[in-house]
Amino acid sequence: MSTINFSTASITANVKSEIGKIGAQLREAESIALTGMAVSAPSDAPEVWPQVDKLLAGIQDQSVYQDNVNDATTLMATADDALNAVGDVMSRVLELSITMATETVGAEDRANAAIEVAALQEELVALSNTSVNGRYIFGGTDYGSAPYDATGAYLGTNVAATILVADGQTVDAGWVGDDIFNSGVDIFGALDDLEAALLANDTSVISDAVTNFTSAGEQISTARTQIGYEWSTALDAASLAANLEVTMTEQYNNLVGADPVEAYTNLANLQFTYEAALQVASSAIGTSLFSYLR
Amino acid sequence: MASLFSTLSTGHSALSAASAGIQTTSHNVTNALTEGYSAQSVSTSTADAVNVGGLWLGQGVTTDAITRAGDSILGLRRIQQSGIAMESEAKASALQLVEPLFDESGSDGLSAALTELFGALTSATADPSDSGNRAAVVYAAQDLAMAFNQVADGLVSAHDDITQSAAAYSDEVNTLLAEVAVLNDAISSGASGDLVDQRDLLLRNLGETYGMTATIEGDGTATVYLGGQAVVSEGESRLIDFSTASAGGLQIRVAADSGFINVTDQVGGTVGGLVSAISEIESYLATLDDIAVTVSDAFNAQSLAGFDANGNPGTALFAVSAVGSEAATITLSSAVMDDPGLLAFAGDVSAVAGDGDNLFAMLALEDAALVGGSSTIAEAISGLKSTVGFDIASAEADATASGAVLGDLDDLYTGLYGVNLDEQAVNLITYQAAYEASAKVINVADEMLQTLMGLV
Repeated sequence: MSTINFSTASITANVKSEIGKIGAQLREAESIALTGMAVSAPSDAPEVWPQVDKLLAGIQDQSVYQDNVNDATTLMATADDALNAVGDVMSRVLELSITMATETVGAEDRANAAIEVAALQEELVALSNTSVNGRYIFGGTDYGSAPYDATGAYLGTNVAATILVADGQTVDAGWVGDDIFNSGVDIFGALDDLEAALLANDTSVISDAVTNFTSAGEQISTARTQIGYEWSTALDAASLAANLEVTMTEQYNNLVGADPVEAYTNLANLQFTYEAALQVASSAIGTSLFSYLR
Repeated sequence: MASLFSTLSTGHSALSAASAGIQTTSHNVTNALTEGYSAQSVSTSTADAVNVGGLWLGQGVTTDAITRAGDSILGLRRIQQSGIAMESEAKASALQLVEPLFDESGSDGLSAALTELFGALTSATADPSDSGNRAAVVYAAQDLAMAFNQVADGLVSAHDDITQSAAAYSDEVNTLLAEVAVLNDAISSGASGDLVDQRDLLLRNLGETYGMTATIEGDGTATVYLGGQAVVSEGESRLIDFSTASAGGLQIRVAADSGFINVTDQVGGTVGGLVSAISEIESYLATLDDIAVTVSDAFNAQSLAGFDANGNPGTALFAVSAVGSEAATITLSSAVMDDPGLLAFAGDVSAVAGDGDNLFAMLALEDAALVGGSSTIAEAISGLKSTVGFDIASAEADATASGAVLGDLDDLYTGLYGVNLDEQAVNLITYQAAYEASAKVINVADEMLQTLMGLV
């Protein structure tokens, strides 16, 4: 008759081994339940780490993009406000031009208008040198220095400053004053001409100013529209970044996070199994026929 | 006529056999938990009968031998499997020492530092001239260099610790081999089963620790092999040398007539696992060095292509001071550290405040396939992390599988040849009864003699 034998040493060794295995599983389950992370070390799931690292980098990127959008929209709001004020100046200059071009006013009125035009020109210079915390917004990339001198000569660069607001996407955040104030209609030059014409009582040149400043008004409106478009782009980028941040965070949690219900259920099961194994061990070890011999 | 003295002798032989049985059972019981012990049993045979007056009278029992249970084939298979199991286990344990270096669950580490640097560069696009933005880039770059240093230092430290651990096994190996040789001598002369158990336990130790295998010869001696070289044969053992020569790291060699034979790559067991782990760590270091060199070269080249805040040509951002230890020695330029204005963000010598052309070029490095021409820096770091993870997971799986096979072999062997207390309890009762019966026979013979003497 064949029998299966278990030596005392093998029973003891097996009990120790099994309790050790269950103990290790229990410790791992405790760690998962406490940290909420099913995957924390490279060996937990080696294949997911490239994706996990990409998600973590992406989440951080979206946060930075949102911050950059805030910086960009602050500058855009300031630029829009400044151009709004410039538009008001253009409207006043146009109004003066129309009035002074008529035959109903005389040289003295025109001389007084010339003084106002000079003051409006100073105001325009100040508006073109608008800055936010020392950053001049109409100097292109050279926003560390005032882009216009007192005469209205442009000193900045011809390249717009840009800010990165999404992967591969920038928005303008430092505008080329030359494009806004000096191209198409050279507004400063036109003001100089108007002032001179008023002082010279030259109605023909004053009449030309009406056309110029009508166009200048449109020129400023166009610039505001362009800024508005960039602003809209920036806000869209911020919205996208916020959504991506949420989505990527969810994907990250799906990859490495532990389901709390599953984690605690597994922990409870293992605790029960461990206690049962200890009870079995206490019965198995030391039980032999010798225990029953008188 | 049968002699009463013959009866006494017959009874005595039975007492001796029963005594041997009780003694052997006692030896088995007391060694039930002794590692490597194989149950022993008494072999008896009927003593030759003697012809007395035409009658063949039995002479009792002869105690032939005390036999050690065992199976050399199964035993040698266990030794071989123990080497395989311990090799995987040792490799997994050793590699687990370096796993925390790549564990970024706490948002620290190489990947996080790289993300921080590119994040700071992205923020700087809002205002490349801003001193706060520049300082953030400098700190992020320094953090990245330090992350490389920490991982490299950790790998080097683990490499050295594991090498020392492996080298420490050199202290005992030659002693163990010499002990096997001594036991071989005794066994070939006819030794007790206890000595065979001791010898086999040493073979198990050599298998677990060094992956040595053995064959049992006809005279009972064991020939022990390491890397195909016989290191113990009969009563002779050969010297095994462990050397931590600087060029090749740990080397394990067997002495031969013609010099030493290098068997480092053929060592198994715990030492083999440690050697394998050392090799893996060296490959991790090499990969890490490649990535560090790529980071340094790429950022430096881009820095040199631009202009700093003062319109001066850019300077190198990183420096590595030792070939072959790039990750351990990469540092941020001290000049840039002291003056973030030296960051070459501008693309033009005029270096106006908002000129970030070279800054954008640096940002483009994030998505460039710079490492080996096929991976971005981030992908290379993630790839290294995955490699470490796969190596550890694979070693752990191997350890579990081979450990299970070893467990089955151990269970089979000890089940067949180990001590079962229930069986020994039954034997004890049996031998005790036999002893009592034999004593009764002697008692009866003695009474009969007394009666006979009384008649005289």
